[in-house]
Amino acid sequence: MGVVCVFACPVPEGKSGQQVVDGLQKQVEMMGATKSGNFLVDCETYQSNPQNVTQTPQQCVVNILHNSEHPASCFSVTESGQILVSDLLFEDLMSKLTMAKAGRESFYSQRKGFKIESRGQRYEVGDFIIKIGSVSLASNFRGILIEVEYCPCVILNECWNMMKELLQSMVGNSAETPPPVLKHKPDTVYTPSDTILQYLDHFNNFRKAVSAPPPSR
Amino acid sequence: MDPSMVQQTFKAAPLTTEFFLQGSVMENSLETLVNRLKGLCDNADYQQESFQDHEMVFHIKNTSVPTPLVFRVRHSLVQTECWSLRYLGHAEVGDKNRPTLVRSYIDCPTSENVAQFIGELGFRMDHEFVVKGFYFHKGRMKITVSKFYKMNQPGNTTNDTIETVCPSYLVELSVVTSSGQEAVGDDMKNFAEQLKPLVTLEKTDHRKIQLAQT
Amino acid sequence: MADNRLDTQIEKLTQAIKLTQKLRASVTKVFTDLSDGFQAPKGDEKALLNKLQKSLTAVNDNLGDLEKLAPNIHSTTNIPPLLLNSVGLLGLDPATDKSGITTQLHHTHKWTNKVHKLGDYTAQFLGTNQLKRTNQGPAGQAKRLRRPEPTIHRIPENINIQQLVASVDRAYADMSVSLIRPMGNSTVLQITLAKTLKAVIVLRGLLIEYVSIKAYSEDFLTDDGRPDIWSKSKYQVFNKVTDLVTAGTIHFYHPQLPDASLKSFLIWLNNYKTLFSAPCSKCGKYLQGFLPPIWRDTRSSQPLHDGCRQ
Repeated sequence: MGVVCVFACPVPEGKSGQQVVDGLQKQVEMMGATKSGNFLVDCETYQSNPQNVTQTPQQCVVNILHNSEHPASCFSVTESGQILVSDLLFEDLMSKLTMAKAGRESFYSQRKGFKIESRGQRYEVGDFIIKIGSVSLASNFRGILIEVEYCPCVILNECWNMMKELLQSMVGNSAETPPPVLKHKPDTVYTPSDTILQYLDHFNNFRKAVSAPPPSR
Repeated sequence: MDPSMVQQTFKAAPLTTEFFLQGSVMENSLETLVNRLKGLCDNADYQQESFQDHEMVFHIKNTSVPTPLVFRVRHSLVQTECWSLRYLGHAEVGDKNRPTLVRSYIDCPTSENVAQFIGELGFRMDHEFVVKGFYFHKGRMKITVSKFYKMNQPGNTTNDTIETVCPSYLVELSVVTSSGQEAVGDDMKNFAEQLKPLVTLEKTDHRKIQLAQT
Repeated sequence: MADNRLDTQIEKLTQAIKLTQKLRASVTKVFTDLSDGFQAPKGDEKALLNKLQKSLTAVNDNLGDLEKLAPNIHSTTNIPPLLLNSVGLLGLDPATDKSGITTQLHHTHKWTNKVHKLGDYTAQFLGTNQLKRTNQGPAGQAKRLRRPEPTIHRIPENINIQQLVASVDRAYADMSVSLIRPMGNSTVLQITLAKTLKAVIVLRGLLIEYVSIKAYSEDFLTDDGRPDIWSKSKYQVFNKVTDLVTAGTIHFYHPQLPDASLKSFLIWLNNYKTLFSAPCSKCGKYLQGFLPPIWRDTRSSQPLHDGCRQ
């Protein structure tokens, strides 16, 4: 487990997402990377039914994410950024909250059409792992996320410059500064939760981009 | 193993049903029982495993029905990095032919911020206590012999602030498996037979206890 | 003739084994009798004592027989095991004895010792005949002559390795060095350098014999939790660094001043705390072949890529 940085790769006008993904894959293979399977990061969202949960007046949102890099774990994130790492059984606990039973309405319910995932090819080169994922929201293509992991290091600040060199050859200037989610902890030991928070941040941006009106040109 | 395979195997057979029997012993006969269990169980050659857990019981309430949904946060006081979140269903007594009590049981290991996390989901802490005891296993059967302590200062689990609830120990024999595996009940019945007369493990009807209290 | 001798040898060995078994049986009998109690009528202590005496005599007799036979059996190993510390113990296993690995090891051991010794002498002579025009004062000469015979793998009495390690440990806040002696005499240094890497150094005396470097997130344990210093790191970069640092140990080797040699090596190793964060001092880049600058110059401590060294 090393340091992971996730960046969105812009899709230029007049090109399809698949074309950009293909181009990136070719580029990574040219660098000498070898394919090492597929990967998947998915996210489902639950919201509280405030009329049912008496203790919290406002609505609560919980995102439940999985990462194929940690297949037996489940990551749950509340809106305040509190992240719970747990066994996959947490989903069964969540189903207790979403279940209506014996005249009782459910405490939480799943947001429909909010399932978002990033899926694609995983590459290895040297001590780096590169993942090129296409993001789909309710099975519609939304964008491209590139994940780069440098495994031997555990401190973001130490290896950021190295990762920047690699990332800039792929996504250009968007990798000028470290991912905003990681700003508050540049010198602490990196954990898998930090990867999940980065993905969630990107997923939320993609969702917002959908609900916002398209920019007028 | 392929990551998706791992996820599938986890999802295919969730171990969420607990078959269990309960009984109790007085403090002075504890040693005899523990020695008997040491002889019967698998971990005989090792030092017996003891545990000390702090359990916090959280409720989430609903306007439509007043009975709350209960989640339990367990925290080991020995291995302080171990936290888990539990759900225990109502114990079903079932008909006479069924040898054990059955309840749904989800025990999910989590990171250490679980109490704050479910607090944000809308859970509120109802009560907390400390459990200390011994743990044995034979095959997939688990036997715990435990004593309950109430906490005089909220959140403080040190030995000088906790006090026993009653002098006896709770003995629980249980198997957690996927639903529908009724056959384990017979194994458990046989095992319980071997512990007689030191302790009688039986189907304790929880509703009757609650009725007796009111 | 030789066959005959071998046959009698084997016969004697079998006999010895049989006698040992007999001795064991009689000793076991004494102890089981003592622990389980004798089957005798109450109050008849004399009978009990008689029985005990009988079994004890049996033990004594068996022991006597075995001792009589013992001088006739020759050791199966050619090298006396205690001369060679733990290496000699290898020869006790007849299976490995056949392969001749013990004798080979013995030769290698002697040979390396000789090389070290000769190297030390050479260094001593070269040191006294420096190619300098100004003659060093007689004080320096006299001092040098008083030096004991150089044997780097034997710690000189005036050097306390624990103090040496503790002084390095104190001097660098981001480098923790701890000393363990897993098999009594041998010394292993465990080093954690900032949050960058972990290292294990095996010493013979003060001579660095083996270095292994792994990531901060890795440990020197097998899957079942036993210590394991021989396995490699999962990561390319640390395997390369291990190779380079092992080469570095030769650079810092100094027969006359073993303590300074170890100390300067540790100080040099401290430069690796910037393994991931420092750019190459020659090409100014961070990555070359997906590796960071993995060499630290032995004089200037400047970070360099493996490919930028020359």
